[in-house]
Amino acid sequence: MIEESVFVLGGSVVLVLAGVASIAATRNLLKVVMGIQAVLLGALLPLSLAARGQASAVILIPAVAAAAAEAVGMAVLALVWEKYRTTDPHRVSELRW
Amino acid sequence: MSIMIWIAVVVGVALVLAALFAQRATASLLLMSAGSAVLSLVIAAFAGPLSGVLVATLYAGALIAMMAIWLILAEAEEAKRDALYWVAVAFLLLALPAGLLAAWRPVLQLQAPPARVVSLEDILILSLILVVAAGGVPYVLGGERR
Repeated sequence: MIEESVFVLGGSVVLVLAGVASIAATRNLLKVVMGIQAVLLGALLPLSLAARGQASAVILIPAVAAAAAEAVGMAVLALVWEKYRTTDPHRVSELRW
Repeated sequence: MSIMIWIAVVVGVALVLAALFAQRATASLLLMSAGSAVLSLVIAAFAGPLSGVLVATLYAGALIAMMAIWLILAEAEEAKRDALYWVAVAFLLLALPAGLLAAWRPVLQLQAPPARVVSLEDILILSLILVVAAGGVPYVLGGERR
């Protein structure tokens, strides 16, 4: 039987790696925002495990910050579409070297 | 650790993975919303119900808002008779009896005493479901008119 901490940490590692892979591979800005959300979910899981039985402010503040980051991502998505008429991050990037 | 937490971790991670690698954006958002809600159960089990409810509402609500933005931004598409189509049909068929039950509630007779009386929140939630079904399901079924 696998220990619970190992199991949850394994799940969070899978979420983080899948999120990073989605961010790197996709050509849709929507999937980039969702990849960021997967990474943040993967970070919240071990954080909740560490905050077990304690005051939940340890996890409440990061959860609110993560949701705010996603709202910013949605705003960026809408603004990018309004300016460039595409959601491909490779086509709208002006910071590439 | 409870077996339910094991199941929630596995199902939640699987839903998020399916969301990240789904082809259609709408299906991807739906899967991500479901995965976030399931993973919030794990967070609730570890860090308390308040944290779980907060994560579920913030993440699922943000994803639904993102779905609305995506439907505004995306190009018009024809209706495809895929799995999402039949899920929408199932929700429509489930929403219709719910509306009929709400309309006929005064004449229904319960065999056992109810666990609690119907509150205003119940009616608001049912209204929200009906509004979503009435507005969203025809869009999914019929596609966007050009």
